[in-house]
Amino acid sequence: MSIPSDYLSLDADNWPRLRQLRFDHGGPVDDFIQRRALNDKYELLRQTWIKFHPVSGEPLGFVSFSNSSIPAAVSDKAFSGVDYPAVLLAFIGVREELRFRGFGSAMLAEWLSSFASVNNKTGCRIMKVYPTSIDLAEGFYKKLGFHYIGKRPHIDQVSIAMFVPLTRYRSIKLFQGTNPHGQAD
Amino acid sequence: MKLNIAERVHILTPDEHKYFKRALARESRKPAPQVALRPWNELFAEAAQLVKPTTQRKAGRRVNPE
Repeated sequence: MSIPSDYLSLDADNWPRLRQLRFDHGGPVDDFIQRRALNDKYELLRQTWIKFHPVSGEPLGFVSFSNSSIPAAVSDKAFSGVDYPAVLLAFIGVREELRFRGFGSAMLAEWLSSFASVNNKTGCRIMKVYPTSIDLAEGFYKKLGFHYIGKRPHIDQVSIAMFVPLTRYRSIKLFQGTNPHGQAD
Repeated sequence: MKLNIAERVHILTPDEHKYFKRALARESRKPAPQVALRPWNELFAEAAQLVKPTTQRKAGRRVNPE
């Protein structure tokens, strides 16, 4: 897996600049950056990547991922099931002055292509996300190929779960490389 | 320190699982979505005009000049 261009992993040096920014008017995304992002990285819970402007070095937005799965029961009788390995898009944020201009879509698309690489290290096939509203699900994630995990959007304590098979992003050639069959990766 | 490492999940019921398996197979066969993404050079040019610079704090303790 290649890291897309102009990203740096969150660390103690770049976090002070990121925490000066606002992403959702003091909502859960701001709360994550202010209070949990750095700790979660060092506790190996989530990895946060910051997109920087290549010339000015200003942080523009970030994405945060963790390992996850989609658990499913096989039958009602047996206490057993299966787990579909997935990567969870835990948070995505674009600084407020740049929102609704296409930065979030561009960031997420390049990460989907990156995870779709055959060298993705963990054998991950699916990206899942819990959009915080139907508007976000329909207006943002659906256009990037996400699909509801259930028949209807679940509106429960877990929110709305969506997934996209990463294989859909193999055909987007953002990265150089070849697979054993000689096709572009 | 309390570690909050658990993610709350919904375990798919057998019926939901059947639906999900079919959806996964169907969605996996689809090509990449046709999204009109703005090119990064355009986005960077716009960002250069719109963002207010953040300040980089210097490392080390703040010393009272007095």
